[in-house]
Amino acid sequence: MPAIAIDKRQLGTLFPAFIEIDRALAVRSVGPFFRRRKTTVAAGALLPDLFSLGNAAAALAAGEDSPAAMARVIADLAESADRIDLFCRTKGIRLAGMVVPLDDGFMLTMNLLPADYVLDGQNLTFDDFSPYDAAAPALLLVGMQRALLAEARETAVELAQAQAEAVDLLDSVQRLGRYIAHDLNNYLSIISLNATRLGLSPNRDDEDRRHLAAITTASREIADLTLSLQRYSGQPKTATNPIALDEVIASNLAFLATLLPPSITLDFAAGAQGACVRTGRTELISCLTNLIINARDAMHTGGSITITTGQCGDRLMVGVTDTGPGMAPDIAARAFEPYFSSRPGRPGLGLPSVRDYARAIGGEVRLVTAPGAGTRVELTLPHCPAAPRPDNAASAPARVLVVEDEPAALEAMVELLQHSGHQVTAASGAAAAMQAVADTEFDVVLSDIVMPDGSGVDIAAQIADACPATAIILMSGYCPDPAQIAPGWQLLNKPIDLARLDEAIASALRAGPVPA
Amino acid sequence: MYGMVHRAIRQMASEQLGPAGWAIIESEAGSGPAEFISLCVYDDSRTMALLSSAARHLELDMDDALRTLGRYWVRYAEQGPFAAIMDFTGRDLVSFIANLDRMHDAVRMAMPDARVPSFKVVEHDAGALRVRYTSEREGMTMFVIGLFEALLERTGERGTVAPVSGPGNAAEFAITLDRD
Repeated sequence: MPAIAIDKRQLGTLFPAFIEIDRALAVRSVGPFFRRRKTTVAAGALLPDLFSLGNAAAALAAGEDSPAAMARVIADLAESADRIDLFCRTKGIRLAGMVVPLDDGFMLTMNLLPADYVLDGQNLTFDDFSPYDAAAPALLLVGMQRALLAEARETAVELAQAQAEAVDLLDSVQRLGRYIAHDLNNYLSIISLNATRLGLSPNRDDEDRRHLAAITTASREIADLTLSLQRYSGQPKTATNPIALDEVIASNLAFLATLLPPSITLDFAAGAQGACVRTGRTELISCLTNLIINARDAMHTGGSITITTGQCGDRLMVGVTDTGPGMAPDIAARAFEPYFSSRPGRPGLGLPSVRDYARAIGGEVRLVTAPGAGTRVELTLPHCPAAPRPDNAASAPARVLVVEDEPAALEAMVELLQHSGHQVTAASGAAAAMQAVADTEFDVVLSDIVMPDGSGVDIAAQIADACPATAIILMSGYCPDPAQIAPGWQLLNKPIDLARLDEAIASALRAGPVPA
Repeated sequence: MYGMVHRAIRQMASEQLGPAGWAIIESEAGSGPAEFISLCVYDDSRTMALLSSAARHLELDMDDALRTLGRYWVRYAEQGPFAAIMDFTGRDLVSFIANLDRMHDAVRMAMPDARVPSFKVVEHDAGALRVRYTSEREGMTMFVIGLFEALLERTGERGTVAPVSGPGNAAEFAITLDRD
């Protein structure tokens, strides 16, 4: 086999830590690894002073760590293809390679052997390794993965903190929502009751009555909105009233159109005239908003969106159809999957929330789409009879104590109940109520719950103990803890109108006292 | 780009504008905590949305924002968990740039979806070097200039960086060293 000629530069590239020694183990020349670092491994130094033998080579030396043993091992290894390992005596450097015999010495073709695959603290660089040494990329890959894991751990903590902040924020918003709902309901009661008072006054002309009807209708719609606010504020079981589907959509069409650029038109084909669905109007509009935003985002070059409604038996149908590009079957199949979106950066919660909404009120949703044929999202919702207008329930005249801290509401309720034939006593708070009960016997106590000088629940409990025959009706714009309402008591949610008030009193009198 | 780039943008903007300023940038860009996961590769439009919003609030035009981010990127990498990798890549300017492709190979192995650029030192002498830059991305010239400027500083050099055209209009950068 012919001899291979290789110069020191090439040798240094292949074996950056090479060490050329003479037969007395004195260093003659070293590779770039040592030269760059200006180490003591330099010409003139003795190899046994710098390194000890490691691994198999140490076994060959039979446990003897002496220059003679090292010389014997190196000479033996020069005759074989076995590996020599050298451990630096002063630093944590390990080298591995082969011993190549020279005429008057040996060439140790050494490469670095990383102590472990942790970059930190080793003070190494790429240039310390041969470009063909797999140890360098392996070392870097492990380092990269460790760094990415360290950042991933930081991210996990950040995500947990963000989640906790989001929960806190939601809690604050819900508390604010409940506070607003409570106050809105109180004010709506005042508006509604006083509008009724005005309506009962003689000498009202048609124009007055038309104005009063407008106030009453607006109050009712705000009351529906307040119910939606209560549901969004952590009271999902808050009752809903039936709403007229076409009327609600038509009255919000202008708002929905504001979601669209001029290149997209919005039309409404109403086909469910007079039909009602039991849901909050805010929830219905929020659902349509999601569908319209989805349709808008699919139509980059403009087009049209049409809302259609219809009735089929006991089901109502609401469809949102766009003239966009439609969806491929694989996208359509995943469209209702939470967090799935075919558009980067979108949360992928629009259609899942539409489905959740439809199912929560006993309905369903389906998708009709194909590439090039647009998309239609169709909700089928249960039809609900319109809410009957409560008749003024006739009840026998009763002795009624009304406890309410809002003067305008108290005055209106007293007057209206007197108009219904009841004998009414007014109390503007808890203390006045207890004084009235001490002086007089009542058939019915009608009390607000949240008052500055005491809770209506506490008043009710004391009266129920003292006068078990007295019927209890509590009123509230927001009941913080419905579990406080004892069996046999009625809870009348504000806003209150005369019909509901009369019905509650009639019902309480019919029911009679709660058995002890 | 990568979550780690998003994190660098966040840190850069937060240092100057505070957490409240960053919250506005994040909100304007429509980003959330899920876009700051280092191992994830995000659509470049998300990165640009963050950077352009940050640029507005830092009162920088987009070129300056890219250059500032390029400079900041080196600082970000050398101070965090990637410090050891920066050291391993090289201690002098030429070695560092020459080894960037090897470092990016490791990035690609750790993050198979990553689209990493390539840097080749095509010429160098005592006073200058010329680096050929290849990337699937366009419009990154100012970012690369910022990157090289920060590397000059990191390796204790002074000098200037200028984009030049290489053969066949390949993107090249001339780095002129100011050595006494």
